[in-house]
This record gives sequence, C-alpha cells and structure tokens, in this order.
Amino acid sequence: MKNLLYKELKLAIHPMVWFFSLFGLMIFIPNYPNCVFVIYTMMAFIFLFQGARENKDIFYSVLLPIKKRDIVKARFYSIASFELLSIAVAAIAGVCTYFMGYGPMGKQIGSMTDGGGIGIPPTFAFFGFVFLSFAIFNSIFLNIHYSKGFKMLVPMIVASFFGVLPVLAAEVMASMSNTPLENISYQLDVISADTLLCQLIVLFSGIAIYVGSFLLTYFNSAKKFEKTDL
Amino acid sequence: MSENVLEVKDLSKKYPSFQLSDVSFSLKKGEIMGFVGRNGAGKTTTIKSMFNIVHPDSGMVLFNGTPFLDHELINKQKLSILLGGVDYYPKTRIKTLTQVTKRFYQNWDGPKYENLLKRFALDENKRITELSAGMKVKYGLAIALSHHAELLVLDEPTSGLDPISRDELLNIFENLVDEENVAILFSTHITSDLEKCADTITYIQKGKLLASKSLKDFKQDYLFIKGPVTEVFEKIKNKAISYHLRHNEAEALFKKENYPQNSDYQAYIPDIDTIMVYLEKESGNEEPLI
Repeated sequence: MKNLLYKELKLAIHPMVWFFSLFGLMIFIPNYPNCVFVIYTMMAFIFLFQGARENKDIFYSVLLPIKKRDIVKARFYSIASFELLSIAVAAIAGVCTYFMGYGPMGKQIGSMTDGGGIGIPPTFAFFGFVFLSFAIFNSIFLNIHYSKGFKMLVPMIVASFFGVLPVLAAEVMASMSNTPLENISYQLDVISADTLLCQLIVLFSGIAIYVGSFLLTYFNSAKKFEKTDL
Repeated sequence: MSENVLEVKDLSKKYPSFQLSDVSFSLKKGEIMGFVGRNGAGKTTTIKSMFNIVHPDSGMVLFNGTPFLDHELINKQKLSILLGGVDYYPKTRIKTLTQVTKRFYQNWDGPKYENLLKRFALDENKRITELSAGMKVKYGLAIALSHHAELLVLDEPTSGLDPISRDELLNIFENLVDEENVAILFSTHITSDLEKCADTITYIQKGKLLASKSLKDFKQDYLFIKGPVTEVFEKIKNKAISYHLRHNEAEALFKKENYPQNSDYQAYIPDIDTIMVYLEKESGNEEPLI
C-alpha cells in the first residue's frame, strides 16, 4: 500500500488537486457563503479522476504486482486525505476568524454571539454539514464511477448537486433568525454553552455518516472494480 | 518440474458480440511464440483473460506449473505485460515513472536498468510522449528485464513501427531469449516479424484456436499453388481453403492433406502472410466480380 500511495502522490494526483484544498481559506472572505469552499473541493475530483483516466492509470496499475482491490483502496486514501485536508484548512481558517474577533476581516460580525450574519459561520455544526455533504458526494460519485465503467461527467454532476444540498440547507437554516425556526438558526449559528451539545451532535453525526458511508462505498467500489473487465 | 513457463488451458470468454472459445497453448522457457490472428480475432482478449485483466468464463492458466491466480502477486513479479508500447503517463519523465514503478518489484536490478538504458539509448529525462513508438517498447522491455521477468507478454509491440525499428526490436527479442532465457509471447498481425524470429506460432481465428505448433510445422501444414485456370483447377478448387482468380490466373491455398497428388500445379510451402490471407478470406472462395 505504501508503494501505491507513493504512486498516487507522484503520478496520479494532479498538483492542482492539492491547490483546491486551499479553498478552505475562503472562510476568511467577509460575508461570503462558507458552503462555496465545499463546491470547489468537489470540483477538484475532476482533476483527480480525469487526470488518472487520461494517463491510463488503471492500465498502468493493473499490470503491477498488486491486488486490484488495493488500486481502489489507494485512490480512496487519496480522496479521504484530500477531503480531510480541505476541511482542516477550512477549520483552521474558521478558528482564526474567531480569534481575530471578526474585526479586520469583517467576517460575519457578531454572528457567533447573536445568531445574526449571512449564512452559517464556521461552527462545529457547519463542519458536521460539510462532512455530510462529502459523504453524499462520495457515495454517489464513487459508486457510479466504479460501477458504470469509470464514467465521470454525469456522476460528477449528480453527486455535486445532491452533495451540496446539506451545506446549502445549513446556510438557509442558519439564516432564519427572524422566523418561527429561529431556535434552529440560533443552535447552528452560535457557539455557546446552551448550543454546544447540539453543535457537537451535528458534527459527530456528520463525521459518523462520512466514515460509515466512506467504508461502504469503498467495499462496494472495490468489489465492482475487481469484477470489471478492463 | 514443468519446462513450460506458461500453459493456457481451455480459456473461454463470452461477450455479446464475440466469443473466445477453449483457447489452449503452452510456451517453454527460451522460446519466442508469435500469437497471430487478424484484427479482432481475440488476441488481446486472450492475453487479458490469461492475466485476470478480464475475467474468463472458464479455463486455467499455469505459470511455471502452478495456477497463475493461486499466487498472482508472486507470479506478477516474474512477468511483464506490455499492451502496445508504454503509453501511460505520457507527460511523465522516464526517470519519474521508473522511480515509482521499481518500488513494486522485489528483485529490481538498478545497475541492469542503467545498462539497458544505455543499450537502448534511452534518455531518462525524456517524457514518454517524446519517445518514438519503438523507444516506448524498448522502455517497456528495460522495465521488464530490470525486474528479471521470466515471461514477456507483448501485445502488438511492432505495430506502427517502420521496418528498420521492427527488425531492431526483433533482434533484441532474439538476444533476450538467448542471453536471459526468457520466454516471449508476442501478438502481431505483421507476419513477416514471425518469419524472422518466432519459434512457435499460435494462430487464433474468430476467437478459436486454429493451430499452436512450431513455425516450420505450421507452414508445412499448407500448400500453395499459382498458375493458369485449367480444367484441373476447376476440379480441385473445392478442396482449397480459399482461392483467388484474376486474368485467368489462379492462386489457392490447400491444407496439405487435402491437396490432390495428381495435380499439374507446382505446390509450394507458403509463407505465413499467404496462409493468413487465405485462411481469413471471408467467403472461403473468391470469384472475380466481372
């Protein structure tokens, strides 16, 4: 596996993919919907999979003395590394905005204290929804990609559409501060003693769904790949 | 212990529009086997089915006497499969591709690789896309030999090469077999390559094995005649595998056992090209259009 991961880093993963992980820094942009970084992160998959296809990575890999299943495993490691790196960048940016007191950057001033501001700030709950978005994206895209002869475009569009819904929903829900759903908005928008439990439940639920769906998608994709006639 | 490095037994694979049926042959160490058939005959499907790249419906492949799939990873250390030339990662430099590839092989021989690069005049700093078709095959061979592959499986390695490059490559094949005792299975539809270096021929037609034997025996199974169309020709033409008529001149290929002894025609042992052309004539016989 070590050698395959080396191959992924050295050959298969286009350098642009790592660049896309920096889109988490968009959290710094004042009054800008945070969900956008998730959309950019998903777009990086085009570089990852299109590059591998153009370079005939599957034919290169399948002729090596390795298990077919491990080719898929290495790719899944790459995907998880990239997504988690993107989330880490966004989380660090989120923490920074918090400590910067929202002053110089003008980031959603007061949003963490009174539930105001545009969309959802980078709270624990927000990242729970980010994990959920990636879980949906991975489940749709990777399952179709490995089941339907490595198709790219249609699975990418479908997966992106459904994948972005959780973070979009989070943006909408967090913006309903003057509606009957004000409490939900408050719970998602504000980190305080009375919202922390809800925030952490959303975060860990997102992580659990991400991990669970990732493993299921891997097992299914590896099985499909092993059965595919190349 | 079996002398055969490779034995293929009753390999079958069914597709909606094509079927590979019970293909069997064997290859000894130090032998060059030409795997022939026209385009679409099933050569690549056979190679892919042999090594689990596509999944055969039935059949077995033995590598050094044991089922290939029982020790797939160990066996893959000892063989090299080249589908065409090296055409993956075209924008990558040879140096980088080798740096990654060599990590997968336990018996990687660095000094040998360096020697082969010099011998094949390969520049490590070149990108794959900058290599000629012949150089791509040579790079593939350099990788194969540097991990001490016992069996080289090359799918149409000489297709698209000019005659000089083809001849050069065939000489390399001969040297590899003589010096390294490797076995080479190479598929081709360029039959003149086989005349030059193949020890044995495995001929596949529409997914079925037609013959697998020494080059000499394969050619001696057929007789070819050429001459004016006479009454004798009219009598014997039905026994021909196929024939061609033009300007009252006839050419025909016969299975040796079907060729009438009392024919007036001078019969020759044909070259592989002639055998292939006449075996593959769709209708069997060919009358002039006008």
